[in-house]
Amino acid sequence: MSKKLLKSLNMAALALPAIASQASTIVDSAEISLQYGKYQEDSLSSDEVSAGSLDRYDIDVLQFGFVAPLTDHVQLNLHYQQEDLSGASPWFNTKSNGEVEQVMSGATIEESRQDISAQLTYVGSNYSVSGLFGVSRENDYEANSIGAELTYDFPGKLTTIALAGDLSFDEINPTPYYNSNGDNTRVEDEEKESWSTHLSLSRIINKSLLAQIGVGAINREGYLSDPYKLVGVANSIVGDARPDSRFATTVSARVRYFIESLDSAFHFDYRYYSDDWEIESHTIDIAQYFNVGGGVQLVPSIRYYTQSEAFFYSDYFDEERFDNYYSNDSRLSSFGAITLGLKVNWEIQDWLFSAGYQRYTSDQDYSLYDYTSSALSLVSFNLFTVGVNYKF
Amino acid sequence: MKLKLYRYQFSAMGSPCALRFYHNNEIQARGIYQSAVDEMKRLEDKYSRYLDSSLLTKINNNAGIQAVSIDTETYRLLAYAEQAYQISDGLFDITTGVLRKVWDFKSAKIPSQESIEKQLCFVNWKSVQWNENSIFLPDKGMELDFGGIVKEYAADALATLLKRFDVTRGVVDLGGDIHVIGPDITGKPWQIGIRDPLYKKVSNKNAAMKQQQAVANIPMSAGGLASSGDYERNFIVNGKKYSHILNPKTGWPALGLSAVSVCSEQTIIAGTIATIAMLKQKQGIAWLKELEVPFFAMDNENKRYRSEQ
Repeated sequence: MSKKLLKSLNMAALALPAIASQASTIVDSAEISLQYGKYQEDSLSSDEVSAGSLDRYDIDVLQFGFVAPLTDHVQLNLHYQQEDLSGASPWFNTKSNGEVEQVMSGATIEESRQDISAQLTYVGSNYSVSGLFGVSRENDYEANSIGAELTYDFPGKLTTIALAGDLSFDEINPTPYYNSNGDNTRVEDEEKESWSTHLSLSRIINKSLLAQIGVGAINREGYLSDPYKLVGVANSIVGDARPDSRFATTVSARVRYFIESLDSAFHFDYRYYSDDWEIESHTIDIAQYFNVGGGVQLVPSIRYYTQSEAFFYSDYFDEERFDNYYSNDSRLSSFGAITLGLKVNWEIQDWLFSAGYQRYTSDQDYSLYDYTSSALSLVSFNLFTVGVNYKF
Repeated sequence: MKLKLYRYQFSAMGSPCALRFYHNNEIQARGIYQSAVDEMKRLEDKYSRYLDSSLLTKINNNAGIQAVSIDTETYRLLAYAEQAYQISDGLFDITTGVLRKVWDFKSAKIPSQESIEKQLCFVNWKSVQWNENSIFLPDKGMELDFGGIVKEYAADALATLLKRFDVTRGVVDLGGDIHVIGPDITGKPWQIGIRDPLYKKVSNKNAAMKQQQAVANIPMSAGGLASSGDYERNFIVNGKKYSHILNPKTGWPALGLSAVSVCSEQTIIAGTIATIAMLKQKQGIAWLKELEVPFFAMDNENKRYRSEQ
């Protein structure tokens, strides 16, 4: 029993700033977290839709996290996520009287997805090494991934360099769809492989200011189309067809500024993304963490996102394309999106309770980029979350 | 680029302090020493109860009046003190310092039970309201005292600082609160002397005499060592020694043990365990054995105890 007492004292000591930096960043106690989220896409209006359901996706997300120190230098993170999805999704577009209209999937889709991942980190005096693996399963999709991350603190511990990479192998087995001849018109047993890498440099500039810059690359190869989407091309309907490779680069910057007089922290994140489908995007995230006393923290946030359209995107194709790539997925169109959020965190002893709300609205008018074609059924959604963390 | 041992002495937090470490560049070594002195000054300016401008004085002056804003470091120190309070069943209490108002070690007089009890009303860590952002001492007359924490924490902070400058062999000694960073140049542990509680403080200018002061030498290659004892401040009445280590429950000095030294990964922990052991009086020895920490102790009959090695 006494040894346990000693351990609690040790944990409190390791949390002291001057000692914590000496012992690097291993967690000082086991922590368990549970979060529930309700994601609700706005329904479509009937004048946008020519057939199918107006209701879009509702997703219930349950997340479970566990992190614990295994030894003085080794930390384990476990994560499990269950998503239950129901609703309808855009299927294809038709053109009548020169107007392009959306056809939604008819029957309500019911699906669930499970994600599990585990990460083991070794923390040395001025470096850390970590490895992780993850599995994600849906009835028509399975992904297995592995990853690794290295960090190194330069002498003085004010500058940290981090290199991360991961590999993912995905198998896609869409639910068959039989035409009037009894043939399955959907693909079967498709595969996708992807890798990504990220290099970042963080620097503590002074006690109130922390900055990070990063560069990254993402490569995807294999079946990258959406097996459930169809595209209207010159009065006929063909399957969604995208190139079988996609390479992207990213540049990011983060700033954390602590305003001592207000006891408040300002977070600014920016990310630039560009890929060989000609999609280019900018994301700006701004959040302010207000400590209002009594262990309560308020976090209002705003995010702006804008992207250009993929070279093979159109809401409707009047003519065949020479490369035979077609997609009317609005996520490949030129659009902009604004997310407004408010989160409340309440810490009481070893417990942390949180509740949050986000409103996401996307629109072509918000885009900084020109567009050659309109986008139907751009999504808007509400996201409600509640969560609880407990430290042992 | 030969490593050379650099030694620096300075005075901080009312104690003689020393740094010893190996480095290959004198100018850089000097810079490291300067940074260490600055860090000590930062902690002293923040947590000294003798400085009017310190955060601690501000907290104490606002007792019974209003809450005072604190930063993360202070919050973590309070969280540490809370843990120490819990593991000691309330013996380690950072509000105990007010008892000094009745126990005047200069006049060497035993205070009346009445005056002790009056002062004991202000000893109550549990009544202190604190969170990540602020602290409030609910009664005017209450005081916090980081005396048993901050110098030890400073030893750990200086060890961190030296490591940041890539020092791999050295010793931080803040008036007996020790943090060792790596072995000496030959790869051997440093011999850390534990002061003899029986040795009267006559003069410690003479190095040879200083050697004699050591009741035990503990070989250390890494980690912290701290001591608590009745030899620092005490007075004797009718052959009974009254020390400055006061029990927050009774208001009386701890008896039974005259000195405890403890080794631990961090000096702050070593210091806390040594203080709790002193407060547990003779039961402190059994408690130290149960914790399985390396220790050296002496009781008031001059009997010596050591952890099994």
